[in-house]
Amino acid sequence: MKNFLLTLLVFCTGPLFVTAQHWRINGYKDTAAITIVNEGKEVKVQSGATAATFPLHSEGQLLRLKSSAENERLLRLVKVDAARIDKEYHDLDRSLLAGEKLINKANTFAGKKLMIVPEGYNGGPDENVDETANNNGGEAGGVNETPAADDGGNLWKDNWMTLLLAALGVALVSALLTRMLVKNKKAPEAAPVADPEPVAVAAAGKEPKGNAAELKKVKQELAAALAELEQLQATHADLEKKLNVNRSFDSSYFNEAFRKLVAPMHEALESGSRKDTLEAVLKMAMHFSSLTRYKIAKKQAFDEANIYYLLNQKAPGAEVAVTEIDRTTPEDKIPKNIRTVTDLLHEQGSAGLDDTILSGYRIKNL
Amino acid sequence: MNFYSLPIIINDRREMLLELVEQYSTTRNNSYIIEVPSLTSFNLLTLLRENTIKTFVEQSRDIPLQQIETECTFMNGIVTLRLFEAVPLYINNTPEEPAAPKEKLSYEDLEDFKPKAKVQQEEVFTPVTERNEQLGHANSHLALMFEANRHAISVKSRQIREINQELFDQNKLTIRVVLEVNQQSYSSHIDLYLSHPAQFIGIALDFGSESSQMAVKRYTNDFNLLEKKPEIENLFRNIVSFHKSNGWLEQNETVDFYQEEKNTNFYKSLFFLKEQLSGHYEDIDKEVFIQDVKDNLKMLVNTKDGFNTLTRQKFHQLPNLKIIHKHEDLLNGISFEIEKQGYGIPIKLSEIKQKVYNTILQVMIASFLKKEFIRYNNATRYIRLMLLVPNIYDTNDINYIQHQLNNIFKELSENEYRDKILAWEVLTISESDASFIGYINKNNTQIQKDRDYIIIDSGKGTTDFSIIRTGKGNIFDLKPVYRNGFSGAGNMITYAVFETLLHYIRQTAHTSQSSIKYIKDKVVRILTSDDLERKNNLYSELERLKFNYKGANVKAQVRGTWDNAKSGDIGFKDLIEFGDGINTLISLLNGIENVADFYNYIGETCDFIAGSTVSYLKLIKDNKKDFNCAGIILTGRSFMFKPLVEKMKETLVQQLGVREEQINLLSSNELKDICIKGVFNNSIRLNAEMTGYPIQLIFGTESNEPVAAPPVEKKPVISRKSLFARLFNDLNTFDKVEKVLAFDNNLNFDKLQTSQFLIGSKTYRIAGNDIFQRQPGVNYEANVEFTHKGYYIRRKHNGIVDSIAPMKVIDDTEHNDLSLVVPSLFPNYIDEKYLNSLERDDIVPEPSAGPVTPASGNTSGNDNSSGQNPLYF
Repeated sequence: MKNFLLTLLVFCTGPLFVTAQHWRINGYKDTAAITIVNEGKEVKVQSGATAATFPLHSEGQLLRLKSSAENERLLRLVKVDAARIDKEYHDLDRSLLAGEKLINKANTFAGKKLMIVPEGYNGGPDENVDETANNNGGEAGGVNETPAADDGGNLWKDNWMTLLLAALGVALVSALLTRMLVKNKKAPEAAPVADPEPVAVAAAGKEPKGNAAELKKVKQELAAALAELEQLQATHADLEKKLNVNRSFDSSYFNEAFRKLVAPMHEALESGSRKDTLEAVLKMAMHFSSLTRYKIAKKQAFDEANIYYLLNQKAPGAEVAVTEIDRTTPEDKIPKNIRTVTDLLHEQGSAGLDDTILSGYRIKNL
Repeated sequence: MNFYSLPIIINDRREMLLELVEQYSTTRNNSYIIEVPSLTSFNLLTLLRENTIKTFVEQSRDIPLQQIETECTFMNGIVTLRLFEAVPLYINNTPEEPAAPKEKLSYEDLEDFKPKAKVQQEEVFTPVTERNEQLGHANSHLALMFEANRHAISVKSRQIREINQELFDQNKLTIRVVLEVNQQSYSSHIDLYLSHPAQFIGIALDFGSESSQMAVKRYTNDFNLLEKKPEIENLFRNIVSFHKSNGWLEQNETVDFYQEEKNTNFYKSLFFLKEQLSGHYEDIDKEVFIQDVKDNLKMLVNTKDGFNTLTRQKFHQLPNLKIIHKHEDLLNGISFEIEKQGYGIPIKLSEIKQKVYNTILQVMIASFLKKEFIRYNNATRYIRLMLLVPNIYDTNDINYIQHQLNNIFKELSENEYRDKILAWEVLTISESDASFIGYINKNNTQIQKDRDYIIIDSGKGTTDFSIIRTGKGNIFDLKPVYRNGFSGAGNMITYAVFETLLHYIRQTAHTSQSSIKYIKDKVVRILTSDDLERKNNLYSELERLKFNYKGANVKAQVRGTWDNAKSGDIGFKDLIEFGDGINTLISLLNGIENVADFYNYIGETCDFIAGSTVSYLKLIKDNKKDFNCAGIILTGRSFMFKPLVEKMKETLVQQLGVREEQINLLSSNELKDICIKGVFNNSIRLNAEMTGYPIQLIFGTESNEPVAAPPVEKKPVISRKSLFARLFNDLNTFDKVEKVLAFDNNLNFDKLQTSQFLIGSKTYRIAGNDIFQRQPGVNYEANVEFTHKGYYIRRKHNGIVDSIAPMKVIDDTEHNDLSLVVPSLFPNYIDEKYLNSLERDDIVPEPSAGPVTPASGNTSGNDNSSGQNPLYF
């Protein structure tokens, strides 16, 4: 009886618990899968025999790729152009890049997976579910010529069926669970750290006297295990806290690093400006140097100033380690190693490295 | 050579030896400026009867001035002083001792018989005729007189008219001294310029290792014509103005220069010479000055980009000219070139150094004179220039400098200042002697007569010391007893701090190889490069630490601050692996307040300076019978370092037996300028030419050559145990030899052949062998005499000089350990071979000490914060 109900449950509530949704595209010749993995930190994209993983970061509820370049790469992999995706998922946040829309769409599913398939594709059981939901010659927002709005009526017809079945499934599951819980009410509720004595007492009443020593040993082991569990939980909590701090730092830092260093570098490269390229590369090198030292706990006095700068925060005390070099600085006051850089900057007509610090010197307004 | 040496005193202030030569021989330039005082009569020339005319004519005798008769005439501006031996009036009336009964000698006795030397019967002469004669009028205001009595022979002058603003109609007065002896005439002359007070100017110039200074003395230019207190000139400003007026700098240039020592009147002795010298040098060896000074020699370097500009233009910064004196080969890496006929001729530093020195002197003097003659437009001047010289200069050096200074004035007087510079007098004076004269001038000092005073002047690069005897009758009658000096002073202490740092780095490193590589690649390489900023930064930190030195009782705590020093996350332990080269090192030092003597480098340096000085002084103390020290004066800026003061005092008390209250440390603001203020004191009578009295060092016994102590192996690195042992090589040698102070003809003639002579800072030997040839049974005496040509030894028997030999300097420049010179050149010159902390192999990492709380409050008297840290640049 139980097995039957469970099977019915799965069958009926399948639409609610689908592991993947398909997007069938007219004329699409490949099969691509977009899967969110690693708790939303990465997305795995598979297309045919080719697979790639892209790192993600959260922005509120949205998942984002690292850069537009990644986006381009993803699109090339799945072989769908951005316009088509934008059209299909026009209801998603407009700030999302096309590839990010696919990702965020996949994220809405329980299985965190979106498949892009040719029209008429018939995959596994979970893959057929969407046929009942959206099978009207195309998916919602699909790539056939008719716009999604034309399929609006058929779409609702498919969906109400799904909802009805889903509701039935919920009801069945609730009934089953309630029955199971009622049965279990008769048994004493044993919390994980409940005193093993009552069990032991209940058991003792029934167990033969010869197993008392063994039982005592088990109780002791249980007590030790519980204590260890408590400690591990505390450690876990602490580590989680630190992890969150690090995550928070990394998130803040690398977001800013991307914005202030990486993106401008690419812009410079694309624009072909030597001055901008030089500045960008030098800045990246200096910040990388500071970050590396910071991470291995070997930072120099001025490295903190660099870190704070990237975090858009003021650096208490770190500024004392920094000397300014600008156009008024006498040449004799510039160390030889710094002069190599200032000469390079001069050659390219650069004014300096803004607030980035190089070996304790801030070079700006040259 | 045939001459007589006559000790004279000019104007009661300058003792010298006048060499009376045969006719037609050239004589030296002897001109002297006489400041005419407004009130009293004054001496122009004095011969003291207690002195003796020394002969340098073989087979002749010295002539005591007691036995001299004189005649003096005056005609056409020339005073002729005739000296001749008086005919003895009576002989000794001392009754002869009754002849001892003749001994009956056996044949055996005859073998042992040695004839006694005949004792010369002493003849006593009556005092010569006292004279007091009017010679005539020297000029419109002054009359001349001649006076001879049993104490002295004098040519004097006195006012016949009140000295007012009207100048004299005649200034030059020549005094010709003629000695008639053995039917020969020997003569010389001196030119005296009687300077009206309004025309007189005295210039004192101290060309220091670190800083140079100039002082000027003049009289008020009003009806009072009073002598003014010497004024310190702003030498730096003068030089800047001179450069601008010559077009060497833009007139409206307003930059700062490295040569300016802010808030002082000093000029920092920093010079740059171009590697490729321009100009036409007919004969480079004979050229006295650098040509095209504007292009070739930089005495002013702007702080904006001057150093880097000069480096790009291939200028070399010249090292301390005093310290590398006679050690120029040390800096073979610095070379120059002149182009002649399209061919580049290399010139070594040793060949060019003196020309540079002369040129710098010329600029310094000319910079003042230009200002003087612009300010006083129609003025004419009689100039007396006194140049302070270090004690390491010998007679040749002094002669050379005096000669060059005369050339400088000659050139100026014949060209730019024709008819303005009317005459000049050039005088050199030992720096330590000048310090003593300045000390005497102080109001609150008590100086005793007929006592010895020791002056120790320890500056940045050199330590000079003198022993001066004050006069029996007049304390200002100063006799130089001994002068010497050596490389080693303030810079050497800074070097010791540097060694401490390097040693510490090695000790905290993980591996010896990595630390050595770090020191060589990251530290020494930068310090020997043209990266001025980082060199300055490191040197500033070392100097600051030196001034914040802490003593032994808080050494552990200071060490703790070093162990815990951090630059960000990086301490000394991480410096090599994770530091950013010398930048992190400088940053670490910046966070450290103090240094202590962790490894005894500093203590050893102080020991060396104190020990060397006192050991030389002890030579005199132990060998001069009437040595009677009344006081010791410590001067020079290295005595701002208290451990050195303490060590010096301790060593003086222990080894010379003086009391601590006899040791007088001058206050910090006197330490530099006391020497230059004192030289104008006309009450002082000093022979500035002699570098000291000779000390005979008798080596071995019967060997022909002096058996010197085995020379220390001439490796540049000194082992840890014998650190600075080399410095005592000379002194260890001295300990082993018999020593005789050559006063009053008491040289040990019999051991002459195995002797060397220490005179001042130089050791001499006797040249030639004739003087050692002796007739059997003849009793000889010998003495060492100073002449303007150098030192000579004269052999006498029966009072007759029968042999004269020159004394030659023993060239010990190779033997001189450069580990003394190199630290003194720091940081301008560094040689890894002379970094003991780098070369030694006994440095092992120590377990790191735990954090120690820093000491609270002040500690044992070593709070050296002066608030004024001299920078390297």
